Amino acid sequence: MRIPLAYNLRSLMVRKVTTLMTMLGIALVVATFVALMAMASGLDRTLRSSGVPENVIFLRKGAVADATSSLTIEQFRALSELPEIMTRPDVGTLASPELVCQLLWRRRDGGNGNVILRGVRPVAFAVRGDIRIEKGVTLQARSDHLVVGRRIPTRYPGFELGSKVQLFLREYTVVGIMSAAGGVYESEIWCDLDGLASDTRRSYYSAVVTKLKKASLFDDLSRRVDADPRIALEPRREVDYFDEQSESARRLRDLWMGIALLMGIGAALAAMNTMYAAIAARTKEIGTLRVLGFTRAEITASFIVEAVFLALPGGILGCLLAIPVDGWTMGTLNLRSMSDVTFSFTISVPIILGALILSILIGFLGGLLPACQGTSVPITRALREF
Amino acid sequence: MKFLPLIWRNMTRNPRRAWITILSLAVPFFLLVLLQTALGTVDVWMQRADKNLRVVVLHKMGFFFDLPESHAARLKTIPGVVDVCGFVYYGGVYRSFKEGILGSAGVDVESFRKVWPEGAVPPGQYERFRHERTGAAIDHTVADRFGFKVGDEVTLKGTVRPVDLKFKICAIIRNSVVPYGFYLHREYLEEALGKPGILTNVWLTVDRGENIPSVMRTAEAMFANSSSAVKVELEKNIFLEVISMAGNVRVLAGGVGAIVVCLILLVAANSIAMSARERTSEVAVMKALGFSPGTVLTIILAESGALGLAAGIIGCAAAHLFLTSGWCHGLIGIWSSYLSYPGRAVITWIWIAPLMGVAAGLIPAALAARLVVADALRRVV
Repeated sequence: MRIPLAYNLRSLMVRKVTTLMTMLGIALVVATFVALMAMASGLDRTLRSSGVPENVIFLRKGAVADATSSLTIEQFRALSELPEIMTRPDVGTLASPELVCQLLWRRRDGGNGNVILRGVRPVAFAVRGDIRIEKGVTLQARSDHLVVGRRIPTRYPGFELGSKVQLFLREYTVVGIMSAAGGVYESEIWCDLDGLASDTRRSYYSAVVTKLKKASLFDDLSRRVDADPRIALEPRREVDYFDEQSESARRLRDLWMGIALLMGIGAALAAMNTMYAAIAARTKEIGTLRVLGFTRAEITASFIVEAVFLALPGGILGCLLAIPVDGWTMGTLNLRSMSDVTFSFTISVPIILGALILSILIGFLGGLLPACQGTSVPITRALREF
Repeated sequence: MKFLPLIWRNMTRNPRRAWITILSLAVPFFLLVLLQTALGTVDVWMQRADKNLRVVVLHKMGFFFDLPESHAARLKTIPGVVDVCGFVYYGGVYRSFKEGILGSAGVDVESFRKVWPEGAVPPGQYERFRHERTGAAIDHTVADRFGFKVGDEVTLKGTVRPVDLKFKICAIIRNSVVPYGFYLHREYLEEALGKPGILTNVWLTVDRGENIPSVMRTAEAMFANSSSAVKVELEKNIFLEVISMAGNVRVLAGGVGAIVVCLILLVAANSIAMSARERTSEVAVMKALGFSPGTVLTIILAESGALGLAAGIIGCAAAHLFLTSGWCHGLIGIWSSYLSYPGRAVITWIWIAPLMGVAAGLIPAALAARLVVADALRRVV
C-alpha cells in the first residue's frame, strides 16, 4: 500500500513560506551549477569541435600547440609526398603548411588579447571541411587580404568587412568573415602564408595540417613518418590534438563543479532543516498513519519523496533561471596555445539532466535522516504527542 | 543583557536545528573566503609589482615575436635607464607538459640581479650561477615542486624553442615577483639555437618613478616604423593583461559570491522563520506579560545574529585550515605558488557573518513583533 502523493504535496503546501524559501535556495544553487557548467561546456565545445577524424596535424616533436611549433620547408616537402594523404585535382595534395603568430591586440572591452594570426595557402580551406565564408570572399594566395573568424569583429574593433588593418609594415584589407562550426578558427585571423613569413622574417612553418584518404590510414602514416629521417615530426590526429587543447575547459569544469558541489551541500543541509521541522510537526500524523496500517518503510519512503518534491521544483526553477546565460559569449585564454578564444555558454541536455539530478540528490540527502528519525518514534508515544 | 540566558536557551532548545543551520551557513562562508582569497591573491601580486621601477619592452605585434639582440644596447642609451636585461623565453617543460611550463628564460646574467633585485638568494649562489655556463637560477616554487637542490642536473624540453637543454641548478630564489621562474644563461640558449641573435623582450629599470613615462615614450619612438617596432609596458600592466586574458575573473568571482550571499540569507531566514513560527504562542504569552515589541524583535534578531556568527566562525576556520594545508596546495598544482592567503579575508567575514544573520532574521522578527496577541493565542500550532 502506498501513501498517496497528494498527502505529501499538501503537506508541502501547508508550510508554503518555508517550502518556497527552501526551493528558492535550491534554485539558486542549481542555477549557478547550470550557468557554470554551460560556460565550461561551451569552452570545451569550441576547443574540441575543430577536429575531424581523417585530419592529421604535424608538429615539431615536443611542441604542445601549433603556435609554438616549427618545422622546415624541407620537412614539409618530404611529408607532402606521403601516399596516405588525399589529393584533389583542383587543389593538389591536401597538406596545408601554416605559420601561426600571436598578435597582441586591443580588445573592445579595454584589455589586450593574444589573437592567432594564421598564415595559410588556399589549400587550408580545402583541408578543413567545415569552414564557410559567411560574408565577403575567400583568401587569395599572395594577397594583402585577411579573412577573419566571425568572433573577431565582436571582440576586437577594426576588423569589420572592408576595414584596413596595419600589421607589421603592410596594410591588409578584411575581405571575408568565416565561420567554423563553432570551433577555434572563429577566433582567428587568417592571411597569406608567404606575406606573413616575409614580414615576420620566418623561414619556417609552424605546423602542417593534412587530410588522409581514410581515417584508418593513420597508423600506416605514423609508421612511415617514423621510418623517414627527413620528416622527424610528430603526427597527431586532429581530434586528439584538440582534445589536448581542451585542457583549459576541463580545469575550469572541475573548479566550477567543486564550487557547485559545496553550494549543493549547503542547500542539502538547509533542506534537511526544513524536513526535520516538517516531520517533527507531524509526529501525531505519523502515528495515525502507522495505526492505519502503513509500514515504517512506506512512511519513510513517502517522506523522502516529499523531500525530493521539495527540491525538484527548485531544480527546475534553477534551470529556468539559468536559461538566459545560454549564448552569452566570453573570451578566455587557451592554456595550451596561450591564445585568446571566444566561446558561447552552451546549455545542453546533459547539463540540465545533471542539474535535475543534483536537485534530486539535494532533496534525497536532505530528507533521508529526518524521514528515518520521524518514523522511528513508537506509535504510542507518537499518538500521545501534541 | 538580562535576556542573554533566554537567547541562549532559544538557540539550544533545538540543538539539531541549530547545528544544521550553522553548518548549512558555514559552507557558503567557507566558499566566500575561498573566492575572496582568489581575488586577494591577484591584488597582492599587483601590489608587489606596483612598487618597482621596471618596464618591459616587447615587440609591438605581441609577446611571441622576437626582437633583434641589438635593441638591448640601444635601449641602454636612453636617459633614465639604469639597467637592461635581455630575456629570451624558452618555455621549458620538466618531464611532461601536464606538470606545467616553467617560466624559463635565458637572461643576461650580469644585469639579471640588478634588474630583479628583490629576489633573495643565499650568499655565494648567485656567483655560482654567473660562472657556470649551463647554470640555472630557479624560483623556490620550482625547487619545492620538483625537489630540486643546488647542484642537481636537470634536463628540460623546450616548447617554445626547439632545443632540449641540460642545466645545473646553481641558485634558488625566494620572494621574487614572478613565481615559477627558471633562469638560464642567454648565451647558452643562443648557442644551442645556432646564434639567431634574438630577444623575446627586454626588461629595463628606470632611475626614478617620474622618468618612467619619458623612458617609455623614447623607447617606443626609437624603433617606430621599423619591422621590429616595440611596445613598452609597466610590469604591473603586463601582469594585469595576462590576468584579463583569462577572462573577467573579477566579475565571475563577484557573481558567484553574490549568489552565495543570497543563499546564506535565504537559508538563515528560513531557519529563523521556522523557529519563530514554532514559538508563536510563546511570543504571544511574552507579549501578553508585557514584553514590548522592541524586546521581542531584539531577542529574535540576537538569536539569528548569534547563529550567523557561529556559522561565520566555523566556515572561516575551515577555510583557514584548508588554505594553509598542503592538500590545498596540491590541489591547485602550479597555481599554488600564486596563492597568497590574506588572513584579513577571514576576519572580515567573521565580522559580516552576524550582520548577515541579523539581516536574515529581520522579516521573521518583525512579524513576531507585530503579532496580535489574541490571534496568536487562538491559533493552534
